[in-house]
Amino acid sequence: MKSAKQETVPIATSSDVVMARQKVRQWAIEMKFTLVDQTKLVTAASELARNALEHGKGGHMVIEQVENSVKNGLKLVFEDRGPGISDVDAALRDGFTTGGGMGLGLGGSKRLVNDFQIESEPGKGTRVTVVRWK
Amino acid sequence: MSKLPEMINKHHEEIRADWLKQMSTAVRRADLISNEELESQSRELMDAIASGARSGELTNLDGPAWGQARDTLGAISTSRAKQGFSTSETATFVLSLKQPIFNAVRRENPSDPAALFDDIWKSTQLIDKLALITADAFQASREKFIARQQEELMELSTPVVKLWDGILALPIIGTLDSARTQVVMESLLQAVVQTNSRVAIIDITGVPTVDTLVAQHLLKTITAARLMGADCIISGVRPQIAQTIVHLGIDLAGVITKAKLSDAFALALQRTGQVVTKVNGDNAGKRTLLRREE
Amino acid sequence: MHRVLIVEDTPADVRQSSAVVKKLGAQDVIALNNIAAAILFLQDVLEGTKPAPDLILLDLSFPRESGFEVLRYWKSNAKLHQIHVVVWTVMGDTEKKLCQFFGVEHVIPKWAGPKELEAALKTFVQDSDTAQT
Ligand SMILES: Nc1ncnc2c1ncn2[C@@H]1O[C@H](COP(=O)(O)OP(=O)(O)OP(=O)(O)O)[C@@H](O)[C@H]1O
Ligand SMILES: [Mg+2]
Repeated sequence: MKSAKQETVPIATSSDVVMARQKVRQWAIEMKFTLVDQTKLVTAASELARNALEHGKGGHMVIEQVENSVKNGLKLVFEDRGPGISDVDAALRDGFTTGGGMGLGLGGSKRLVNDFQIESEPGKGTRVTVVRWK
Repeated sequence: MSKLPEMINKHHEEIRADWLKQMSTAVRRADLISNEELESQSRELMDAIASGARSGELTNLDGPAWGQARDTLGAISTSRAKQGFSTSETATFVLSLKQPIFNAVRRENPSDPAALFDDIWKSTQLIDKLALITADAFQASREKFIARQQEELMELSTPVVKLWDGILALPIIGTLDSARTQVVMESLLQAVVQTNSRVAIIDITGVPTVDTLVAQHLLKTITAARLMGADCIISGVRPQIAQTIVHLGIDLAGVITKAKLSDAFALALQRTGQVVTKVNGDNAGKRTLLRREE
Repeated sequence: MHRVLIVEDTPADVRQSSAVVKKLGAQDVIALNNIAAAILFLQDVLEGTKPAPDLILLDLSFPRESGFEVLRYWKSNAKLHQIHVVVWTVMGDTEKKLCQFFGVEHVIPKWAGPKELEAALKTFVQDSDTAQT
């Protein structure tokens, strides 16, 4: 049985971001998410993994199958020990970037999943937790 | 019916010559492989492809007609694995056959765009399949399967191809990370300059994920191309990708997108002043003509 | 550097740049203020009805037109491509990169002022003069 399964993927280089995407895709396929949902999950993972790498100086992703009373879901946790985000609301705003990006990754991934949570402490790091339910 | 099998069979020597010429200008890893070996490998493979094509079957390569091609690709893969080539380098050897075959297809269909679409599409699929057979054989010939190689498999890329005068296509296959996207997009802009093209089709059918980074590179490329007077058309935007792009909040207004490469090609022909018109032929019934709009 | 073609729409910049090339020895300065005219001029050069310039000094941004069209035409013909081109324009990294793709060796930003143009042209004039002798 593969229930309560969990796996950790390091995010230290840009090829780790690619690996993280592949892992999420594999899991989403195994859990029989629809093609649209797979794509949403993989894209959200791509954004959050890249943020952990580029803004958070690297970290890891924990991927986990979860369930509540009615349904299954795929939960992804991205954790880094970077500088943290001082103004989370601003960071979530479309177009806000401190790098040269489009500033759409954080807000966009929020729209691609069902549950979205950011915990961030300046100087300590950032943890983003997302779930997509089937 | 398509004349592609017959064409490949008839012109395989020219195609091979063209192919060798292209390989000599591209990065060839002269450190790993000699000219003689390249020469003999390309001859074996082209013979095998011609013999497979003789069966008339171009979509299913599992049958006996393509056995020789499969074996040849297997042998080439094994020897390249030993020589220290990477998966993508090995597959690129096969993928670089695309442009020579396209060239032959264009010579063969100078005035019949419908047949041209068809043949270009079929030959793309054929070569992609051969490349996948190669990549699989390459992987199988390695003792240990490590994650890094699986990733490389996802990084197969086809070179920029000239579809028609003034029209380029960039079929992107595989995972795009920041560095690779930049390289791919710059090679497109460079090719636009080199070939003085007016339209560039970026086909993303083979791209599994389009995130904000890929989108940003795409948009930058489109803007840069426009600066120098070339329009980009994005083709192969699958429905799930289109939806995700919208959720991300990426604004593609002002970007021309088409579902299929062939639709993009038809539009490109129109844009470059080459229109496809159906006219009544004198005795042959309907004919399709390609003409330059004055 | 005897004959210079200046393709430039801003009158002040035409004045500045023609002063610079004249100072560096140009005898015959032709200034055109739009791309269509520049391309017609180059067509005439190809047909032999107008003498070829030794240098084209090109601006890239024009209302409704693009200097890149001149670069396209220039690059598409081997004979034209022998003429030296210097791009003098307001630009970002993208324009600079594209110019490199076209094989333009000298790309000088306008914000650096006419002094910078003169300095760049000076080394270039020496290069081309030694190349010709
Ligand atoms: N893990 C993180 N650690 C620190 N800062 C972060 C982190 N993730 C996001 N941020 C901050 O939030 C901003 C917005 O993030 P978002 O992903 O939306 O845009 P971006 O990464 O700048 O560009 P892109 O559109 O390519 O994702 C970032 O520019 C950065 O300042
Ligand atoms: Mg981001």
